[in-house]
Amino acid sequence: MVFSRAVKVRRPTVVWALLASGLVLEGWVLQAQKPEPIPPPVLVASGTARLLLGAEERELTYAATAAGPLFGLDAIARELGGRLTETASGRGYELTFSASKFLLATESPQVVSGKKILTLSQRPVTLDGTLLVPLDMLEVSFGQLAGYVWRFEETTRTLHGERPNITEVEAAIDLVHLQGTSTLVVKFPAGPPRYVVEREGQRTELRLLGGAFSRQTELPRVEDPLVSALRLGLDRLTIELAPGVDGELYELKQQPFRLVFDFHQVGPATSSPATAELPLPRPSNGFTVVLDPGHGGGETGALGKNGAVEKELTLLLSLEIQRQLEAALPVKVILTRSADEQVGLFERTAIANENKADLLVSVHLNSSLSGRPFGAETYFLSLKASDLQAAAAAELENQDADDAEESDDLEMILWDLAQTRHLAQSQTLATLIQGELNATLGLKDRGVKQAPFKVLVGAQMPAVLVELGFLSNAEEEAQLKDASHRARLAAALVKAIVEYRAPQVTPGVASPGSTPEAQATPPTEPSAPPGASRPER
Amino acid sequence: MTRPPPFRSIRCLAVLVLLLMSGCRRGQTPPPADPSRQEPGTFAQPVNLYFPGENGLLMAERREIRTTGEAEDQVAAVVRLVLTGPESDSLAAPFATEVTLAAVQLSPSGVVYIDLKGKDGAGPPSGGSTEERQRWMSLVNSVALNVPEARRVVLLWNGVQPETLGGHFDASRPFAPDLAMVARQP
Repeated sequence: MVFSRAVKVRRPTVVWALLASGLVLEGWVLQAQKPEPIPPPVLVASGTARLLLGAEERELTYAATAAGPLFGLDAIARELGGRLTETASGRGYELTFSASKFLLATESPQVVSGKKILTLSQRPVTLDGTLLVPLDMLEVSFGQLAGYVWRFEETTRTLHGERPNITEVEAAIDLVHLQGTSTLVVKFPAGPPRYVVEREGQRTELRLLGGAFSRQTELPRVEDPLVSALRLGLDRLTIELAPGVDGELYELKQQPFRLVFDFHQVGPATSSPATAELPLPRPSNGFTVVLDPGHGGGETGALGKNGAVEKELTLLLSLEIQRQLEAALPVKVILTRSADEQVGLFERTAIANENKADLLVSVHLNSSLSGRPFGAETYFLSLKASDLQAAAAAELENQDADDAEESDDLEMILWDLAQTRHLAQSQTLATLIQGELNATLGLKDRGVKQAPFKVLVGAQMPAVLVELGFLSNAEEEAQLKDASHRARLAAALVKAIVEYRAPQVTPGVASPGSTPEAQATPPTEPSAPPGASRPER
Repeated sequence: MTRPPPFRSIRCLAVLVLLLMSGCRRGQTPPPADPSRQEPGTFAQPVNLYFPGENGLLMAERREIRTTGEAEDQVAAVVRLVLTGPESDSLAAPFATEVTLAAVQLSPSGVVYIDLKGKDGAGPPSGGSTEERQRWMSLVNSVALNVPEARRVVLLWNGVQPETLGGHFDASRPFAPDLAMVARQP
C-alpha cells in the first residue's frame, strides 16, 4: 500500500527487525527469570467485571490475587484498537498498541517494551485461556501511550478507563464504491488533526494523536466489495480490507480538511458490479472537460435547514465526477476550484477558455424560497433567456453616440456571443444529462431550461449548468448529504458526457456542430429540445 | 475582448455618485409607506406585486401604493412594499426584514437603478439559483410591470453593482421583466 503523505508505513525490514529483537528479548526475559522460581499465584476471586470506557460498557474477565485485581487484556486491547497475540514460541504474549509492542509472560512480572524492561506489581495469569494483567500493565501501555487513566471500583467491580486530557475530534466518515475503487473520506470540519496511518496485512488504521473521535461520529454502512469492515475506536478508525486490496491516501488540506483513502483490487482483475453497470467506450485522447464546483469561500451558495452547504457538496460532487470520468475516458479533467476558495465567475469561464476545454459543466445545488420544490434541472444559455444581450443592445441604441463606453459594451456583447456559437451542442449535452439524471435516479424531471447564468455567458465551448437537487427540500438535502447518492448523481453525469463524446470519436461520423463550418454558423436560437421546459405552472 | 477593469470601476463609481446625489436630492429613504395614510399631493394606485410562491415561480398579489405619480416615486413605493413582504401566508418574503431601500434612480432610457442596503453592511443574501431568481425577479417584475417608465432594472447592493447577486446570474446588465416567471393564477 502506498500512502502519499503524513503516513507511517511499516516496512517489512523494520517489522522483521522488531520481531527478531522481540524473540531475542523474549528468550532473554524467560531465561533471566529461571534462577528465581516464582510460586504460582493464588486467586482469591474470579469471574467477570465491567469495563467502562467513556459511555461504552463491556464485560471482561476478572480475577484477584492478594496483590490486587487482574483484568482480561484481550478484551481491553480490542476495545482500544490494540491486538494481543501469542508469541511464536508459545511461551509469551505480545501486545501491539499505538505502534508499540509489549512482550509479557505468565512466568514473569517483567514486561519488555522496546529497550525497556518494566516490572509489574504482579505477574500476569491465565484463566480459561484468557490472559489477565494487573492495573499497572494497563497504565504502562494504554495509559502512557494514549492517555488513559485507570480506576478500579471494587464494590461494583467496574474498571473505568478515562482520558481526561484528550480532546474530542469531530469527524464525518463516508464510504462509496465506484468504478472498481472504494473511496473512504474522513472529513474533519475543525481542521487537520494529528494522526498516523498504519497498515498491517489487510488492516489499515487511522489513529488520532492526542484526540479521540467525537461521540457523534458515525460509521457508514459497509456493503463494499473491497472494504469488509469498519470499526471505530475511541481514537482510531480501523479499516479491514478484502484480500488482495491495496490503496492510497490523499490529504485534501483546504477546509474542511479531509483524508481520502482510495482502495482498489490488485492482482488478477475482477470486474466489480459498479464497473459492469457502466459499459463505457474508450475514445481517442485530447478531450478536456472543465468541472466547475459552484460557489466557494465566503460565498456559501444554498444552505440546507439541516446543515448542508452547497459549496461543500458541489466540490464533493465535482471530485466524484472527476474520479469517475477519468476512469471512464482518457480525458483531462480540470476543476475551477479544488478547495474551499472563492473564484470569480468570470475567472471560472476563463479557466475553461484558457485550457481550450471541450466542455464546461458547472455543478450546483438549488434552493427555493419555499421548501417544496425538488428534483434536478439542467441549464444552458439562450439568446432569449439571456435578455441581457437584447437589453444591453437596446441600451446601446438609447445611449448618446459620444458615450465613451459604447465600444466597451459592444465588445462585451461580442464576447457574449462566444457561447451562442455552441448553443446547439450545449443543448444536446444538457438534454443528455437531464435524461440520465431522470433515468438513473428517477428524480423529478424539472427539465432542460435556459437562463442567463454568468458562468455560461463567455464560455467558448459547449457549456451547461446542472442543479442536482434542492437543499431547501429536507428530504433531498438528506439524500445529497449521502455519499452514495452523490456517487449515483456523478455516474449519471459521467454517462451523459460519455454519450455526448461517443459519436464525435466514431470514425467517419462527425457530430453536429463539431466541424469548423458548423462552428462558424451564425448564432441562432436552438429549437426546443425534447426535454425542454419552462418553469412549471 | 473583456471589458477593461478601469471602465467598470469608473462606471460603478459614477453610478454610486449618481445615487448619492439622487439620495441627497430626494432626502433620505422614508420609512415604509402606509398606503392608507393620505399625504398631500399623493394618491392611491393599485399595483400587482410579485412574490415567491410554489415551484420556484412568482405569484401576483394585488396591493396599493400611495404615490405622487412621478415614476421614481412609484418605483420607490413599489420596492418598499416588496421589501415588507406579502400579505398572503402562501407567499414568501423575498428579502429579510433588515434589507432596506437606499436609493432609486431612473435614467431617461428607462433603466431604473435600485440600491438596496443590508443590515450593518451585510452582503446580498446567498441561496440556490431558483431562490436567487425568485428574489431578484420579484423586485424586477414588480417594478417593471407596474411603472411604465421603468423598462429594465439594474440592481445594486450597498451602493455597488455586483457581478452577480448570489453567485449565479449576471447582474452587470439591466434585468428585463420575465413573465415566464409568473405563475398563472388558479
